[in-house]
Amino acid sequence: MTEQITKEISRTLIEDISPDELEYFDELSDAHFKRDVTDKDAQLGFGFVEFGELATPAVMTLVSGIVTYLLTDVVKVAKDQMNETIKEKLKGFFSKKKKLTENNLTLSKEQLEKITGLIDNKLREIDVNEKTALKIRDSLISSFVLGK
Amino acid sequence: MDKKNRTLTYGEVFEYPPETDNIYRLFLLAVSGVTIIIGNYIPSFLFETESSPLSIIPLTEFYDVDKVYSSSPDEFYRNALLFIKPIAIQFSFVLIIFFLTYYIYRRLPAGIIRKNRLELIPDTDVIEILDMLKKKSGLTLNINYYVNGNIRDFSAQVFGAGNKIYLKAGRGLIKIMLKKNFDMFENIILHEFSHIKNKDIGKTYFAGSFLKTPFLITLITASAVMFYALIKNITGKIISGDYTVLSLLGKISIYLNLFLQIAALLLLLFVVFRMLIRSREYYADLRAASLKSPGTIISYFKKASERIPAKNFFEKLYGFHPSLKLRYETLADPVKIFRPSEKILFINTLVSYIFFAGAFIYGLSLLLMIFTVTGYSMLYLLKGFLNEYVHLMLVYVVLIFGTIFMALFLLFCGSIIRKSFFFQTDKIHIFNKYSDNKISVLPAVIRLSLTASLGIVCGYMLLPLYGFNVLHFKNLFSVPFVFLITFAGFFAVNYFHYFWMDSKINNEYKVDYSVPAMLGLFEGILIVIIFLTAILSFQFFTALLFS
Repeated sequence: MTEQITKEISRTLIEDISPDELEYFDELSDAHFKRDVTDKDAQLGFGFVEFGELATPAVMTLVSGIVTYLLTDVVKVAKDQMNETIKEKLKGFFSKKKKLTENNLTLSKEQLEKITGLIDNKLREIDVNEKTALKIRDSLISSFVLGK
Repeated sequence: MDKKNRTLTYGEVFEYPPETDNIYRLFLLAVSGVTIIIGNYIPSFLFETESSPLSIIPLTEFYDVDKVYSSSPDEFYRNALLFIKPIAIQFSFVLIIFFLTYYIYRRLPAGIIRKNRLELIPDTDVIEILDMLKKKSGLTLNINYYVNGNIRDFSAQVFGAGNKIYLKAGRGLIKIMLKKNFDMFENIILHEFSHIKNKDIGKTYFAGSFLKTPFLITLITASAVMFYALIKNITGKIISGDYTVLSLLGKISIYLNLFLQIAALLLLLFVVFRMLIRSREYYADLRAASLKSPGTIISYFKKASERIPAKNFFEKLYGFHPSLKLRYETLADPVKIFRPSEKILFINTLVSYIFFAGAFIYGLSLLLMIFTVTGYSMLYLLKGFLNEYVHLMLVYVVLIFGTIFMALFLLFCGSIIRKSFFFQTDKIHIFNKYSDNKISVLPAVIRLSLTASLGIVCGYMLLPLYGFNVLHFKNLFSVPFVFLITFAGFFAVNYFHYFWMDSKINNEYKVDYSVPAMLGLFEGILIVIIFLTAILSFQFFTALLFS
């Protein structure tokens, strides 16, 4: 269920950030969950290649982290207890076209700062170039703030 | 005249012989040597001899070479079977290892395809692009293009055996990077094709199989035989009541000592093998840069090296690739590949010592046995037909041929070791020719000679011969003797070589071919003498001080 919601949210974000990646979005997101290990150091290989222009892996990692945080620290439910209402709440949280309903997830200033910090830390860790990272960061943060 | 050096172009790097070719030859010889050394442990521990401290089968005491000399032809033929059996087992074992190595090497590509679940690239457009890049690399041979199923793999790899060559591309590389960043895609593929052009596949995959087989089979077999011999020895003593705690500990320490020695030798060769492969990466980067402007790749290596954490010590030691920082620096300034390396010389000398000790001891023993057996046989068969004077002459003929054969073998070894040894000195010339940051010659030669001597000392401690035992404190006094004598020798030959080459510095300098044959022979003999001196040092030393 968490994987499904992460994938759905990420797809929405990719439509906005890098629509040309939708062509192989499913393959990339499946690889993300399967944790396909690339042979980083093969004999007579080129060596490990980071492809920082690609937004999907970075978005998947970020969304996955944020969803986990929201579930444990904000909604406070276990992953296996997730139902449609919570799913909608999470999707709504990432949506730029938020509807102001009582179902909305509302975050305190500290929680919002924590998520921003989480995004910045992850972006430093993962394989994404500066331009794409900025684009992803702006898109994510604006989606939380809009509609509030 | 102080003139500004011109920059070394990427293409010019390949006008000089790559030093890794020498390391590769040395590596193969060293692995053969180690295989023979360890192969020898098996019969030594199977059969009881005076020289084996542990044994399984109390079969013969005729294995010792010395006893062949002191026995009459009649006795020899009576014991012929017992004499031949351990040798046959030893060399059969070594032959089996070499055959297995070749089999594993030939089966390697199929294994890689199966393990990585590779499939032939179906897309004709991609094949056309790869063919175009193959042509750009100057390759005409047939390459099989494969792809894996990992969309997040943007790398590539080449592998193969004999004339079957394969390119493995990550799915991400051909599905995404080809469209989104063709420049980077081209760089990666040209790097891989450069490995083919540099003839790296045959060398590294064969060397890998050559190492892995002795590493796994020999280590396991030798350890198991030795362990069984140890247990049998201990239980035998316990049953007969003829044991003390100290004697048992003594036997265990003999086992551990040999086991650690085997493991250390093989681990060392493993490190050399990885070093060999890492060095080929620089050459592939440089070859690719000579085909296509390396701007993108330099920028990629620079940025990635700033972001990706530096490798730890073990990753650096065992990794297949140099650090991104080193790759970036070498591409930015290709002359760096010719900076003399004490580390490479240290490992080269250590490996040379191991090979030389193995070749010298076992090669000499084997030749001695073969020629002694032949001599005895001739004497025995011709007894009664020829007079004793003719018999003696025939034995002399056999021994003279044996000596000539051994001398030629040592010269061959000397030639290989000479090339790898002096290349570090040659690099001073090449570096100073193209770089404005000149290397000071005297300190460089001293450093190189010091590290070469240290390599010998480590080999001397790792593969002790002729009664040298690191556990005996008195024996350790011979170590500084070995160090000093080899340092003096290396310093003299290095300096001589440097000045010989210095006279040609303004000519088109070709390291291997510009050395006259007589000079090569002279230097080869000197190198052999230094190594032999080190190997025999313990005997010299004890004869000098303790006799």
